[in-house]
Amino acid sequence: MSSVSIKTEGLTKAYDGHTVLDNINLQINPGEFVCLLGPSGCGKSTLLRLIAGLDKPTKGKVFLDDRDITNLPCSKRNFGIVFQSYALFPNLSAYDNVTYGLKNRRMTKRQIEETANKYLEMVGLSGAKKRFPSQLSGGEQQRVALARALTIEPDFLLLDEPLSALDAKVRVKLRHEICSIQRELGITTIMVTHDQEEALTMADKIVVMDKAKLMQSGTPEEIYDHPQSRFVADFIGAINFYENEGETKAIRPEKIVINSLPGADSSEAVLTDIEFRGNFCRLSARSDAISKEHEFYIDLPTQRVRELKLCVGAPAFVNMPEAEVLHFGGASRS
Amino acid sequence: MRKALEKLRNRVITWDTVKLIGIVCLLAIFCIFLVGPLILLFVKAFQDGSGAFCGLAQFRKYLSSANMLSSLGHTIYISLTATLISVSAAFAMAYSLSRRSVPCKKFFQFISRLPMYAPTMLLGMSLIYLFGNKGILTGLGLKIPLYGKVGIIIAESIFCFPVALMILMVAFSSADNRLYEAADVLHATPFRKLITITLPSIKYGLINAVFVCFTYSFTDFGAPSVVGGNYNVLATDIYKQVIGQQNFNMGAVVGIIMMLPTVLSFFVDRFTSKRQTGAISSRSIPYRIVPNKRADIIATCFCVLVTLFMIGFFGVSLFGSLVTFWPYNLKLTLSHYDFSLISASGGVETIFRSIKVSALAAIIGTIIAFMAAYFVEKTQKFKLLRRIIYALAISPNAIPGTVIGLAYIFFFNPKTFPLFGTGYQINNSFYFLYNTVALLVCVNITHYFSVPFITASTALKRLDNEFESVSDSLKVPFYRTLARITLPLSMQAILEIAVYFFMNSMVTVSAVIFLCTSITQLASVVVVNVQGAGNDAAAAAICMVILAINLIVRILYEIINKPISRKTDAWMKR
Repeated sequence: MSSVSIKTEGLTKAYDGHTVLDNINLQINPGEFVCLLGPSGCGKSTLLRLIAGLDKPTKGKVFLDDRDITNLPCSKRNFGIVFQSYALFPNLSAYDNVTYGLKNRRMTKRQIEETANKYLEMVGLSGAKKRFPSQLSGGEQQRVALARALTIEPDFLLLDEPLSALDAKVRVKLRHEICSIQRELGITTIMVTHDQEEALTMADKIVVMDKAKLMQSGTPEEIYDHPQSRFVADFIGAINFYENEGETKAIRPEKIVINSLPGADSSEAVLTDIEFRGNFCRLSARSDAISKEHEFYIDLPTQRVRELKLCVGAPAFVNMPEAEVLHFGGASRS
Repeated sequence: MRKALEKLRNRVITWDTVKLIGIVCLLAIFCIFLVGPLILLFVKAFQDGSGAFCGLAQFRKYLSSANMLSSLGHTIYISLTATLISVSAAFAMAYSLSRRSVPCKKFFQFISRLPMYAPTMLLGMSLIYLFGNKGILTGLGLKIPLYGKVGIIIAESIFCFPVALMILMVAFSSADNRLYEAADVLHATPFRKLITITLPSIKYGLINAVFVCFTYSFTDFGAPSVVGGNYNVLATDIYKQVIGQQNFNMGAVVGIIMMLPTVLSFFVDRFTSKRQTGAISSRSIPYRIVPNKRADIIATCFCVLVTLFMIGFFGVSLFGSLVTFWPYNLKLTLSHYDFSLISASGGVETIFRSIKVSALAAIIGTIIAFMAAYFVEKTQKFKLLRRIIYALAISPNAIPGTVIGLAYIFFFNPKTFPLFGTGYQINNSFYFLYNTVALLVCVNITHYFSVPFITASTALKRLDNEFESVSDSLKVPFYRTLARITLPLSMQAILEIAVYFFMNSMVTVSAVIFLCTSITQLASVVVVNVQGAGNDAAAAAICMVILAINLIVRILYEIINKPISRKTDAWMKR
């Protein structure tokens, strides 16, 4: 399977004067796994549909390996797609679904069979060939849809919220499987999701979108550690915002250092709540030195909470390491 | 070389082009068989007998004639009364069948549909057997002034009952049980539940049923032609103007006046059906019947009564067709079923011709209706053209059969059309269709096009649009997905459509009565002629044959449909 790069230039889409996608410039390298992440209605699915050719952009261009494909119809772009609804043909067996795209390609019966078996095996469904979609579980249906998309040996793979209709456990399992298949094939992949955990664990590159605009793109670490805007910081992971010295600052709950005894640079705080979350606890604290209005959260391993003998109402001493504090400019701006 | 060829193919003929050709063909068909005839109908209404433009003179003439105006009043009166009766009865029946635990629901529903399977003349004839001068009940002392408004009202009420029942059953079935449970928790009385939950949820169904029944009885030709006597209504007026007095222009005027309520009903239906679909969400839970002995018994009794009435009503005509000479010689005989005795134009061949026309209408009509729905629902491009097709496909719902029939005469009968104001004539290239069985097939397809189209659209809407997107990404041409996925998944709707075309084409009189000639006579029209000539028994016998054919088709449909629906249900279960 070949790997291609995908590029969009000033991609814009408007429906009835309402802009759903605004000037998107995107560069996706060969073999990269990219997640389009954002709240619902941010335009991420529209972007995917434009790259697929299912919709036409109002303005802008789409390039595949520097070849302009903006006006190429969907059926002339070589890609595989998996939808949230899977869109499996209900009247065809799993095997017939997978071979659906192979039958009109001048392939011999044996070639078709080999290809289908290869991909069914890859998704771990060799034993379910004869079953109909209604007889498969959600996770199995999703695998069939993935196998069907891969059989035509596409240049790139598009996944439109492929996991959001599944149970939490199945979702985590499929995450790993999709990632390992993607790495094995080295196929350029774009996945739309609104689940930040999914994006952080799966992607090589995350593209965060909001209100039709591209907010930031980068590796999961870059996005998490160095969010360039308040929106990105807030949307991905938990974060405390506070105003200090006329500036909006923010810090992740796990970056705050807490101690039962005062230390250098630490300020006194009162614990107002301790929420048990299994392996860690989320503490709520109030400190006049940091913010008079807002409480802030601190994440601490449960083990550590016990060691420090922290409890509600007791004083504690917190320290916000300057290196971990994020700065978002003037307080009036948000 | 091959590469170059492929390149050319990629450029010139895309699947969109193929679809565009299909859409344009459909538009052409609509223009010839719907738009063209209707335009001529409108033109005729503004011309005098010689073909000269006369403005509103014809309309003025109509409005100044007391006789004509009275028939407008008559039609409104009988339609309102029949609507009130049939919708009330259908409401009670639909409530009993969907909200009460009543045994043998399928059977009750089947029997209550009987009036749809027979020509409306049969309803009139049963009334004559019961209440006519020599009727059974008249003989027992129950005398009613049958001929005239009473007869028409009773016949139309029975005629409208099944369709009102079907609409209301759908409305009742769309209840959300969670609302009733919430009301129970809040201690609502049954009356309050009726006012606050039940009635609002079936509101649009009820409005729709009222308008459909009004339209049905407003435009029906069969029943008034049998029991109308001297009580003139619009549908028989058109016939008298056109066939009796050869006054085509006045016929066109009456036709346009007749379309006023049907067009209104059409827009009401558009409005209500949109609202109706929004009423129920995918999370709704179907209504669960809570047993209530007294109410259940009353409901069952009502259903039994309706069923006995229907059976008795149709039985009386069956009996009438089987006795030697009603009411003097009640010896059973099959002589009335010997159709070779009827007349030169009658006979067995008209029944075979009816079957042929109906079967052709079913096959061709289903193909066209499904194609139209497919292009409207499953194409992304050509938005404007698709809108036009949609509008044309649903508009036959607003046109009474007699009006379509008349419009067809105007369009297909003349050998040439005068070019207005120039004195030139252009040849009518569709004249060859006149006086053929093919034209009868066309008029039936046009007349009954809307319901099949909407059925097909609804079935297609239920299919995931992403099927097409996936097929595109797999580079599978659209026709293969149509054949392997879309058609098999829509099989149930397709069969339903075919049966609808067939049964309606068997019983219809209104449109075809203008187009049937001695060599293209249909069984349902023969009924009108034979009955008009006073041979009730033979007319009843033909009606019974039509009824029997339709029942057989219906039963065949149920048999074929069962395995299909089991299969389709299998994949719908998650």
